[in-house]
Amino acid sequence: MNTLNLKVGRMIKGCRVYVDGRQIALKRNKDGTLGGVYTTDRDEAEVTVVKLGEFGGSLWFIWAMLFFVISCFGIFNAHYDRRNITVNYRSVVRLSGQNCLRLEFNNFNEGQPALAYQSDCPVEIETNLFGLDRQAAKRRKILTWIEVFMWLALIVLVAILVVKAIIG
Amino acid sequence: MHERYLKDARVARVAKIFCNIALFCGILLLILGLMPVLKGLYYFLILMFAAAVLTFWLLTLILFHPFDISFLQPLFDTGSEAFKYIQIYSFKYAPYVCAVAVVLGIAGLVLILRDKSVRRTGRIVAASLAIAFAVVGTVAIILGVTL
Repeated sequence: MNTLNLKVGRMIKGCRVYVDGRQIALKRNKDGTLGGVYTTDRDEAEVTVVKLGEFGGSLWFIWAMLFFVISCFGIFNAHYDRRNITVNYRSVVRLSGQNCLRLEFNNFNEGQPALAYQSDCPVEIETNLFGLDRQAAKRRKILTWIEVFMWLALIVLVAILVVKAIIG
Repeated sequence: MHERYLKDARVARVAKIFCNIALFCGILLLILGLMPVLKGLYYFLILMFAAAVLTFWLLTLILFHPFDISFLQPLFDTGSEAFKYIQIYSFKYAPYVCAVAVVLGIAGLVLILRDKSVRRTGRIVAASLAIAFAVVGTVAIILGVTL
């Protein structure tokens, strides 16, 4: 049985860490880092750190509208990330017994490595890039305009109903 | 992995929305339940509501034409009649609002606990508080009317 002790330094909001395709629970350590343990019978593990824009996929508009409606016209919705940073890190860690992998985010620089790593075992980096989701920025702008339009439509509708009720 | 990430992010967003709605309902019920105890808060709430109504009226006035607002008079009157009115309506609808808060709070909590991303402690606390507020508020409203 091999064990991977994963430590992540300052985490970028919205990042998710997967090991062998499964999201692992990271807990905050006393030194401020986030730590998680993954145990496997295999002699390698694929570590993935991902952050993408939520406006991805073909059904992004339907999802966004669904969230807008169920959150009572966006009142109870959580804010979308305005920075549109994407993180794409994938590496294969060769395991033997107890192993430690420490990941540290670099400062954002488009097209540059997103994470620096320290490890006591061999690590093969497959992808390690910061990106900027320009499409998400455009989609967010479209969504903002639609939301404003829907709010105005709602206000006008309510006002008409109130006026009609009072006059009637 | 991209589809998986989007799915997880969407589940987390649903959990946040549920928690926010549950917390809103919970706080509302708590305030309404504590109104007999904190009468000053009641005046504050009436004032806020009156301000909202006034803003809305001014908006419709600009958009359409002036109309009679005498029906809004009781809202500006902080006498005991309006207080009883709010109490009765709170009593009538509190169980439903409480049910919404509890159901959404529990659903949010389940989704948060399944989602293993970081920074979830705050949301767990929010969902738990929402449920607690809703239950305590509803009990307080019922006691305020029945006792």
